[in-house]
Amino acid sequence: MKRLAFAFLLSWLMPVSAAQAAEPIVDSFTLENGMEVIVIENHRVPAVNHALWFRVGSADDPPLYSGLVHFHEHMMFQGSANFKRGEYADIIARLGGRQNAFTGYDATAYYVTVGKEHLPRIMELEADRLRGLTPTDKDALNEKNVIIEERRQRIENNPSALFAEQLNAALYLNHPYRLPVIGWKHEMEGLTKDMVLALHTQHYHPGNAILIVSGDITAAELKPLAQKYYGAIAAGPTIARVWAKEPPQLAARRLTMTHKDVKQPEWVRLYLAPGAGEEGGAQKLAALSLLEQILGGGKTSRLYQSLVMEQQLAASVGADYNGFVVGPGEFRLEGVPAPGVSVEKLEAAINGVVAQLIAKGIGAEELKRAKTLLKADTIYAREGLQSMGYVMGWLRSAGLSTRFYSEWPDMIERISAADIRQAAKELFDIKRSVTGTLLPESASPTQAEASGAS
Amino acid sequence: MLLPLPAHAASVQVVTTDSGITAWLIEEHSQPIISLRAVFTDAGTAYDPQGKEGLAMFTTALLAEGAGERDALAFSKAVEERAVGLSANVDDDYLSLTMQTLTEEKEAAFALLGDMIARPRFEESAVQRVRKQSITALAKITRMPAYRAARAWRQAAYPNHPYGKIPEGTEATVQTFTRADAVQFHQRYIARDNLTVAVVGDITAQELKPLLEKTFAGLPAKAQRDITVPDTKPAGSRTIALSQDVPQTFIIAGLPGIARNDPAFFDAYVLNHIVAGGDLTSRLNRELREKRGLTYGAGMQLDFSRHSETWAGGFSTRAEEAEHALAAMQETFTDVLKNGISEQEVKDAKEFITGSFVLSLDSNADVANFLISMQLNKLGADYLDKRNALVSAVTPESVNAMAKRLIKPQDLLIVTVGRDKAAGKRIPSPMGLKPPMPSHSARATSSPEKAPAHEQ
Repeated sequence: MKRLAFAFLLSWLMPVSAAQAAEPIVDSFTLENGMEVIVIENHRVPAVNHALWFRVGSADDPPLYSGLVHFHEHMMFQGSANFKRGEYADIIARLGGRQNAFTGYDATAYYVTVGKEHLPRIMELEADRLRGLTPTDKDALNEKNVIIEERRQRIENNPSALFAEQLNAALYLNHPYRLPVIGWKHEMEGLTKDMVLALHTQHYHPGNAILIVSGDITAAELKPLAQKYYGAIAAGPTIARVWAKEPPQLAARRLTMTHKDVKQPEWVRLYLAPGAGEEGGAQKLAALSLLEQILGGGKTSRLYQSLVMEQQLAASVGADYNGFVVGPGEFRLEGVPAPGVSVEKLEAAINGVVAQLIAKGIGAEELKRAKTLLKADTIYAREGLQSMGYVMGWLRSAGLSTRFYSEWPDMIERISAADIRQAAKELFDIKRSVTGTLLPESASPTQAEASGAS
Repeated sequence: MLLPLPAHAASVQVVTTDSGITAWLIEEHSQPIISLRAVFTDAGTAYDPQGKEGLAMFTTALLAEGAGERDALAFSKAVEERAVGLSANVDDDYLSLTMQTLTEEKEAAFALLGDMIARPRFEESAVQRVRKQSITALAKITRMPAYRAARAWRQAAYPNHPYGKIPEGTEATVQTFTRADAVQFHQRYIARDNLTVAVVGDITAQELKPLLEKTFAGLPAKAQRDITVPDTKPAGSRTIALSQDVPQTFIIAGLPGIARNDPAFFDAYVLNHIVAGGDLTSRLNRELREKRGLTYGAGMQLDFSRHSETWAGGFSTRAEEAEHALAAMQETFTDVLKNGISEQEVKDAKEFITGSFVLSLDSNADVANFLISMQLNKLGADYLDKRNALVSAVTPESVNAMAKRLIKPQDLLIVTVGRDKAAGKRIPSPMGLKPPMPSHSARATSSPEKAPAHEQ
């Protein structure tokens, strides 16, 4: 149910209004060393969000060492040539800044939100750790314990999360998206400081980075700062990202998991779906985003109306499309059966809703409503210091141009009911999917298949 | 270094309608967006009748399931067609509504908000559906160790007080809910005399006044409570161990806190930041995460409900290290008492707290939350101007005095949920436990949020 939002720059779609006047100014330029720089103006408060995105994500983890890129993200805070371990966080705190980082499939991002006058100091810190890291063995060992605790906290305490990992590994037969971003525990245990340093040498270069600064700043103000702090760093080698490709998927997969901490069953189906970076993928994003909204985006959606309201077979149900990625994306259907309803019945009903949509198509009213929501998102996203930069980072790391950002409302508007129906026909191929049921421990797998214990 | 605040951040207008409905307004015309927050005081989960625990949350979840002339589907359609954001939440003390709209849809947005709060339909089909959804949600969250720990903590802290109730209820109580229950809760607790409103965005006082009147004037004049919630303090001096076979042990620890309008409040705020609140830089995270690699993150916060205050929080760690981690946490507290907080720590904390303030004012919704807090806690309309000066007035002496006042290690109430440990005291774990601490809140059909009075 995510909807990505973009700056609205095409004026002819909306009546002349305050909306038009409030479009954020977006500028971009590239430094000589290849660092791409994007500036998004927002002068509401005298602060900026400085985000550095690197085109290296969990899909770049080396074989046998899933979780390395995420581990490296943690190690970025353990010291560099001119700043001791922990000093990065301490300095930013003293400046009144907030900072964090995250790792995704395709990219790793580091962001700081701080008063505008501290931007140079932030860039000094970032440039220093971009140049190189200086962790000790002890620090690396400690931080490895931290990421293993993180894995325990996010995943191992939580049956749904454990199951999601298993499902993901079954959805992608060969592509590195099948691996958990945080890594498999047994592979995380083997990570070393030297691997982190090697990754840094290989991937952390200006030529592999996107700097996105949003807030109370202009491109004219930022350019000399970017040049001063990052311009002097060598471009670095060209990096070829070599990822295993998906073969044709010929067989529908089914996984059943039982767990003692599950009382109410859960049902999920993941379909392989077009991703932005694939050939022809970018053109399908709008239709699939609308499909996601119409099929399972909220209380007026097809799935909710049929399964929760009319047939009363589900306590909750929804759809979620993750397509703004470099590789193949995923389209997710999920539901929790109402008390006393089997997962089989739920699945059959969900299949029915999807089949109905493909057979009969999309109605004018639901299409209009979905378009209104997706386009309004572009305006709501302008608020706050982080959201516009965040969206732009995801776009660029998925390989989409900055122009995509401004064309999104127009792309949405142009989609017809027939386009969505066609997208659904192509998408919902059971051979390119995995279906999962998560059940209480009292149900054995075979029993669960037969009767759907609840 | 103190940042100057944006000038418009401080210009609060008080808008009052003919019926006496009041809203605090800050105009912000940089984007065509309006945010509203409306809070009903003493309309929270503490007011669930005996045997009907979960009713406030149930009623709150039903508000959007059909209102005015529209049934559930029609209401959802009307909201979505205009891309309005409308939601309702409830916690111990407050039932709160959040609305976000594009400027061009403001008339419709206010009308939908008015229907939702003044004329919810509580249709039988919706009542049954939400009941089933609540029970399903309960089945899941009552098995989550974070939720169980938070609930057990509250239950132990308030054994004979409405704050010790379970906001989500249990399967047994939820099964009893009827339409009449929800109607009654709504009629009793939603009124004009316990309403506080904040509006921030692309709207003028002149435009807001008639919209406020139309939206809220139809509410009854006075709320009619039949439950009184007395002031209280959390109980303590106990460690409770609940059993669950999970890889990590969840630990929650807490003490009595400090009232929001205590003159020394910011001493406590700075103290918490240093000891337990400041992300990676807090003493707790330095000890538990940076030094020992025991946890992904530990944190505590000051919580102030209308009738009690706490300073509580926790973390999770691998089961075999739970005792070690708990000891390290307690040591962190005793070290503060023994050796004090340093001048440098206080300086650094003040710099962060004042310097980062402007970051909390970057969106309409965040500013609206401040305006609510300012009204509920009587902080004054010029609070946004004064706030950093209040923080700057804190000294190492006053922080250490506050440490002596608040940190009573022997009073700690500790709850652990995890694998059996021979040393821990064991009590049977009942199904369905207490309200979650904010940092561990689980989502049911309506989500308990931080009390609206918590922005500082």
